[in-house]
Amino acid sequence: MISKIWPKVLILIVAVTTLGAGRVKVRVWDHHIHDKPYRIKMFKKFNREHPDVKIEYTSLGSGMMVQMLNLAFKTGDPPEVFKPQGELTLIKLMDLGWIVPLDDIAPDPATFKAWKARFPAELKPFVEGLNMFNGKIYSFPVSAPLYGNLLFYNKKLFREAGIVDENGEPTPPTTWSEFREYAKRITQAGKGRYYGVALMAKQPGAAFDMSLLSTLAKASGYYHSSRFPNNLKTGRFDYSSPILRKAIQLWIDIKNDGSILPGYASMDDETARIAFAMNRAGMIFGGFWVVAGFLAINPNCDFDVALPPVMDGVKRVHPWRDIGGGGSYVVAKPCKHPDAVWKVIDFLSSYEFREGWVKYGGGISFYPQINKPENFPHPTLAKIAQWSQKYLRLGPIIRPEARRVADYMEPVHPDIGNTILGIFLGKVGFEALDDLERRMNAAFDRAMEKARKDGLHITREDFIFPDFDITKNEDYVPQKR
Amino acid sequence: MNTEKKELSINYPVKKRGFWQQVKENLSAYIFLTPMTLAWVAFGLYPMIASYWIVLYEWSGIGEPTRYVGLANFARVISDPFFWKAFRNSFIYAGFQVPIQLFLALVLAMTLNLKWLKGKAVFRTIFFLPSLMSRAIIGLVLGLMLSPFNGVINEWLIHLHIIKQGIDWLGDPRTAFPTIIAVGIWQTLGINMIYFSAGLQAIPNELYEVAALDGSNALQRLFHITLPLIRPVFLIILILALIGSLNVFELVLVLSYGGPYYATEVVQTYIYKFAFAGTEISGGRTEVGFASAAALLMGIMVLALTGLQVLIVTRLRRKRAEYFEM
Amino acid sequence: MVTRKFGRTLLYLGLIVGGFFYIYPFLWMVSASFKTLPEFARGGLSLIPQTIHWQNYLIAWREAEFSRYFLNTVALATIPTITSLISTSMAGYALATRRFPGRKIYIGGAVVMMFLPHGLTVIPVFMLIHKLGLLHTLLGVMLPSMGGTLMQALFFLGYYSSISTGAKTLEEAARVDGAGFFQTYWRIMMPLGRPMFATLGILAFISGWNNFYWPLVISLGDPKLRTLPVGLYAFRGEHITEWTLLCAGTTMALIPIILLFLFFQRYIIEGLAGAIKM
Repeated sequence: MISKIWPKVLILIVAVTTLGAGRVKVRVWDHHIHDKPYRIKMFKKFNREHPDVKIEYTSLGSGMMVQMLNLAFKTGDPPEVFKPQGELTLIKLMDLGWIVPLDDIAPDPATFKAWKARFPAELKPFVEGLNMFNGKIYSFPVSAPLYGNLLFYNKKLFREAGIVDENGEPTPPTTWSEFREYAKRITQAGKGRYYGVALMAKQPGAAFDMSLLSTLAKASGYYHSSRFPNNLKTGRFDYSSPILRKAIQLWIDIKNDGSILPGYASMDDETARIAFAMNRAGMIFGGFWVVAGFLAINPNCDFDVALPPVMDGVKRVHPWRDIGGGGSYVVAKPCKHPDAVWKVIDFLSSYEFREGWVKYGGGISFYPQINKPENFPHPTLAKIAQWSQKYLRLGPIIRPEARRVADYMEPVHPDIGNTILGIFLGKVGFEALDDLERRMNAAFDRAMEKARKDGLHITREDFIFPDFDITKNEDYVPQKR
Repeated sequence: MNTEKKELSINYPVKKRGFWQQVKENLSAYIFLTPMTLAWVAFGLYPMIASYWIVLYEWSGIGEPTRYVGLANFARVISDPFFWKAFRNSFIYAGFQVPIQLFLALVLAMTLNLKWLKGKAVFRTIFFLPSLMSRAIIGLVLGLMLSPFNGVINEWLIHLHIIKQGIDWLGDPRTAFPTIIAVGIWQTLGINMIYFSAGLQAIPNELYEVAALDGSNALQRLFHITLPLIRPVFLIILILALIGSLNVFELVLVLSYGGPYYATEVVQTYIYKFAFAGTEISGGRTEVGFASAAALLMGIMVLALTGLQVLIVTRLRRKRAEYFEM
Repeated sequence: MVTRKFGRTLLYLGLIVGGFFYIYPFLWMVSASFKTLPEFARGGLSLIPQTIHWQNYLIAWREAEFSRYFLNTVALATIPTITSLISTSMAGYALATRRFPGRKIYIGGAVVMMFLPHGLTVIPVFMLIHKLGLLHTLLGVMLPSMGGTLMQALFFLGYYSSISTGAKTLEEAARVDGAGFFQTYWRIMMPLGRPMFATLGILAFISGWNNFYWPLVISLGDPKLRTLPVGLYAFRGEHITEWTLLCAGTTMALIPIILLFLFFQRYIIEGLAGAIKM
């Protein structure tokens, strides 16, 4: 057996090493899988059209991405192009000295200027301190700021439960009590075959972010941030807000009503989405990426999207966005083949690539012209794009230097997602939130201490915006800092 | 004991000369040891030391470790109730999984060792199959099958009218851990069955034949020949099974991720979450130093417990031997 | 006589039924591998899919680049097995037959090391392979497991210890004939150790085949180096898992070792039994 395998292995090694000769290899790493097939297709096209450059694309699970990049840089052989992920934010990458500015790899200043012009300036594609440092550009935005998480509802089940208007069109819930009520009615109509709402509590962090913090609570005026203090008046972490507690209570009530698809505690997001697509759940929270999932499971799925329900008696609050656009690719530091890499960057930011991406259902483009309703594979995506452009407003922006405190934060365990899960399951009481608040603030203080020791100037003031009124749905313009 | 000491003192000067003599004589032995030792120092010992050295640092795993914190990591691990919960869970898991699994493996091995049984190879392969599959894949497939919505197992139980509604095997805190233990048993049964089969085959047939001629029945043969002669193998199998189950990882990670609300968290998932996963929604980053401290602590405790176990067993054996000598 | 036959039939029945339930997950997986994704999501009790959607196997083979992964996996399973058997049997033999200074410490240390968790050793090993310049090579994937496990060494130690009396006479004879240490080993010890080689070899092969974590880490920067378990893992998407493809791929990856085990299980057991006997 050995004698048969050895020559094959040898040939393989030889073939592999000689195959790439002559062509410059540009490795592209990212962690998005929902639009992976699109990128694979486009990269194949690129490779066909460019005899001198070959893109080698690898899609890594987000958990491994950070570690693998770490190892790749340590061994001096990082991928030429990759997407910042997790801890390796753009700012951190700058600190580590791992990335080069795009200005430096462009073939000449004129080309670079023309490339810059692709991005509409009024949308502020390049922001100093975020993706531009010392006037040089390190990354370009790929997607437009998105509304965030929304409520998807199954029109077929709504009709069966009789939750329709005079024209027979299903009406999604707009308030919390309607949300609870409709969930109940759908469950009753379902008689065990389907239920009101699906919850993916196996991943409590994501589950309660999507289904509570960034939807029910946010729409009612409660701001939650995963990394920075969320009380913008005091600059501290705050989990005592009644909005948060009432939202948790709402989910507990819905659970006690029996309206949640059974098995929620061990259900992950994919199973929940399958359930929704197979008409077993009437409602589910999610973002634009769930659409492709639904359609893959059930191409005839009849669903629509709605803004998240608001607490009764409260005016809707729209989320605000950071400046700039959705995160994108950077170029690694020892850039040995700037011409080849530039071609790839150019391709990734090309109109053609982006339009195909939107048509595939990959998301909403930073280039507004592409976001025409007919370009989206499903009307819900068009709606999301529309709402994103219409409702998103500019919010308080934390100074780039202050953001780096996140690098010094130790993991707080259990985190907000698990704490909410514990309360939801009845394992702990609401006082767990107070305890979490205490621990988060303590950890945050320690983080700031360590940051200051490293020479950074960060104080609580950086996270205080006294004149910011969360309920005003307009762009926030700081009075004076 | 006393006579030994006297001998030592007489031989002491002789021993010193003998040392280098012995080394020279056994040079070939040292050479023979070299390949494995080299490999083990390079890929076993050195990485272990290298990865344990960071317990003294607070480090996220990116770039270089810079923040020396001494034993602070250990202090934090020891004072974390969630670590102790995970620790407890690891032992509960082992405490159930090992005895049940070994018992079943032995019974199965004995059954499949029966002389008249046909199709031994097929049966053995069937029961060994789960051990052949990659653990991560097992977790994925079984996770799907156990799903309360759409899961095959629940659908069968409902179909057979045993239950009315799907049970959330992995989501209900009452059933989550037992379910994972059951899957763990299912997965490791095969390999221990093979070990036991080997142990059984090592027992010479003549013993059984002689006993049969003497007029013993099957049960007597079982208790007086089989079980006693299996004991040495049993000890090795037991230790290996214990080490394996205390370090259970991929299975729990994929099936329940330590949930719900830490009900099934074991030490290895605890470590993993701090070293690689971070805490996604709470903004903290990964902490390799802390995770390594937890790992080292667990390792030392397991070692201590096993050492204690061996000590007790040998002392008991010695006491027994002394008792019989009287 | 009748009761005996009845008892035996009952036992066979029990084993068959038990066996069926035992491998039910495997059967379910094979059946899922022939389904289309919507049919899979629909659930249902039947093990027979509605349509034999064998395209899954083709897609898995193509998309997962199975042929390459297959080769890599075969290499990773065979070569380290061979080298590890040689190195550990040498070590086991030396430890068993020669009482040299430091022997007890060596064995004790090995046992202790077995207990300590291997921690997060991936990164230092990765850096070591990098320093050896073997990062993008198949050799780099294989090297860490080529030395063998301490367990293998201890098994050989046990085996050679138990046959040491018999071995000593053979050794003496060989020495009288003028053979050196190596020749003694080659001509005598290795053949004597055959049962152990067979057993540990097959177990090492299976373990190498299913090896996941290290190949994952070293091949993430280089998809060409991936092995089957790693390639299969890639089917687990961020938002959608292509379950049916995953099942098809896993089935394809399992068949070889199932067959291997089916044919060699007798040798495994006999080998271990031989070791224990002595």
